[in-house]
Amino acid sequence: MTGTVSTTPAASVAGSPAVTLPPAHSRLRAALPPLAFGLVVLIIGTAPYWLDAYSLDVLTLGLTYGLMAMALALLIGFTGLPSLGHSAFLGLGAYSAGLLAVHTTDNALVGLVLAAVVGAAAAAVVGALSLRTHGVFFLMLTLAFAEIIRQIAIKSSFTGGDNGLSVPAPHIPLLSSTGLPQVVTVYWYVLAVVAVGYVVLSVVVRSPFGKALVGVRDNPHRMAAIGYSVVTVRLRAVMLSGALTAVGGALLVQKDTLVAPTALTPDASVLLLVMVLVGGARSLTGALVGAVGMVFLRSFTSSWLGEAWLLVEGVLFVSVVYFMPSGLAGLAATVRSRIRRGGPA
Amino acid sequence: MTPPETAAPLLQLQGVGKSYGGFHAVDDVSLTVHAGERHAVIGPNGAGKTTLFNLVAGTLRVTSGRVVLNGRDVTRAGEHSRARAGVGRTFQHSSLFTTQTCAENVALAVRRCIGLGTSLRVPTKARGELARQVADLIERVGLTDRAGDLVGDLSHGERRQLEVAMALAGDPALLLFDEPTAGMSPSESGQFTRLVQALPRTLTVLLIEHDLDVVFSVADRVSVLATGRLLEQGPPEQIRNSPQVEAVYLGTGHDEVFIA
Ligand SMILES: Nc1ncnc2c1ncn2[C@@H]1O[C@H](COP(=O)(O)OP(=O)(O)OP(=O)(O)O)[C@@H](O)[C@H]1O
Ligand SMILES: [Mg+2]
Repeated sequence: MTGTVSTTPAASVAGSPAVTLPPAHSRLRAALPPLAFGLVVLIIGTAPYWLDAYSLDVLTLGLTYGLMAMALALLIGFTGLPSLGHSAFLGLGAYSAGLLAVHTTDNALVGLVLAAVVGAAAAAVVGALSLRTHGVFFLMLTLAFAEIIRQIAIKSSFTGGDNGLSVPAPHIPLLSSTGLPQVVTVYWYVLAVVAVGYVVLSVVVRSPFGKALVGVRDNPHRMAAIGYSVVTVRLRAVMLSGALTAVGGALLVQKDTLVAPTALTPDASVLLLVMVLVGGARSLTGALVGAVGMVFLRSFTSSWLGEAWLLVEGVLFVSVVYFMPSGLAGLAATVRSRIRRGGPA
Repeated sequence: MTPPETAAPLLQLQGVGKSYGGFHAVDDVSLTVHAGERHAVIGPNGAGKTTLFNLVAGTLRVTSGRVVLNGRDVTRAGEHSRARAGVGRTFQHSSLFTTQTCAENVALAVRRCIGLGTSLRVPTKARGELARQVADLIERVGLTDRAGDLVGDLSHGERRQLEVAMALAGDPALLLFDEPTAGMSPSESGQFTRLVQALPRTLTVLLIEHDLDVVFSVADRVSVLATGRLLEQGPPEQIRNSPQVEAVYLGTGHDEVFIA
């Protein structure tokens, strides 16, 4: 199962659906998603044993962006709040975890916690200032906020200015003592954190709160009339998204042992946005896959594309919006329903 | 049926007004609705009836006057806090979650009412209660057969009924029905009338309705609104026989055409 917003007429809310034993072919079909899931787990779980160091590093980067893309999808796809400045939260997470590593402790998990707190707090401020009014203000404010954070990163001495901040390699509890190569340690660590983020977000979107998010996206007036505080619901979503995006930023700095203001340009926000749209904003899995795919695409084409990468990104963006408005997740859903409607397997 | 004049006022509008620029959509309306009363608001199109409801529900803020609910001044309270204080409403133009099922629509309202609207999980012991309330509300409006169907696939009349089910969730103290029977079939409209008649008198009902059969079969009191002003107020017989009301409302082509 993906984190797709359920639009199927599952009457499960009122009473349990009748349970009948499915015929053999549909049992096989029911077994397919777990099989595919198992396959993905196998590939990801064995990646360090057959991927070269460079590709493993790219996969690690892809997963990191995957976490941030899922956090952004929570806002765009589930809550209906587009953010144009998510690099702000990425930057806050990266710099707060980086500064912590430089000045206080190299414990990676403490860095994540700090990043999450800083990200949530900043998101609360941005949200409180903009969510009472029209959604466009949120959009504009995120954009402005990202630029403010970037300028602070460039102009301040404590952030290392234009050169960025070099940080010591993180100490990862349990993993750092295994003696594995750093790139492998970091891969396992990032994989674990992203998996936790995926589970958290999946639980959230399926929960009553997740359904309230979708309600607020689809019909805020009705939500208010049945007693939901639309502002509060949105604010919580923004805080959760800000926190998880900042955790993604912390993973970036821990992985690269470096963060520079270039990571906070509008390009970064746009890249996240394109990842979400390519994958499918209404699906967590889609956003994750979109992010990993885009990172691989960029890494393996940038050597000969250079600046033209932005053009590729733009073309991709426009074609997805035009031909595939629900992204890869939408495509997958269509294929799945075709298979289901087909004859016995 | 005698209007419960002795009951405490549940809703008091004190000189309530809403203006857009120089235009007074609702103009200095003072109205008291007692607990348990069934109060109909009638008036020609554009009289300000929906605007008045929006002022009561908190969808819009008054530009003058005060709104007092159950003795509490809620003039500045937001829409959701008034809903939590017991105001349930239907919309004149159905406002539902069209990509979800009837049951999911009602469940969204019920979860909020039992305090689980934004929780991260429904506790196992609350599941039965949730399912029971959802099924009960859906049954009361006669949509049991449609519970699992997408709202987008419902007929216009069925959507009107689902509106009513959403408004009834959580036993509100004050129910606002904005032209609930517009677009319903005669049998659906009859079912709605019986539903209102069967509501316990612990609920107070404020009803905008063009169908005078419905008005005269459920209302204890009727207020007539025209061009934003409260023209007359009284028991149904008085309104039925009022020449003034007839002049602005009944006489001037009350017709199906106006029920949009
Ligand atoms: N946002 C607004 N800006 C300006 N004028 C408005 C606005 N909303 C409503 N009005 C005007 O206020 C008046 C009252 O509108 P309202 O919808 O309350 O009437 P109504 O009595 O509910 O009519 P109907 O029977 O057609 O539903 C109308 O003339 C309408 O055009
Ligand atoms: Mg109206």
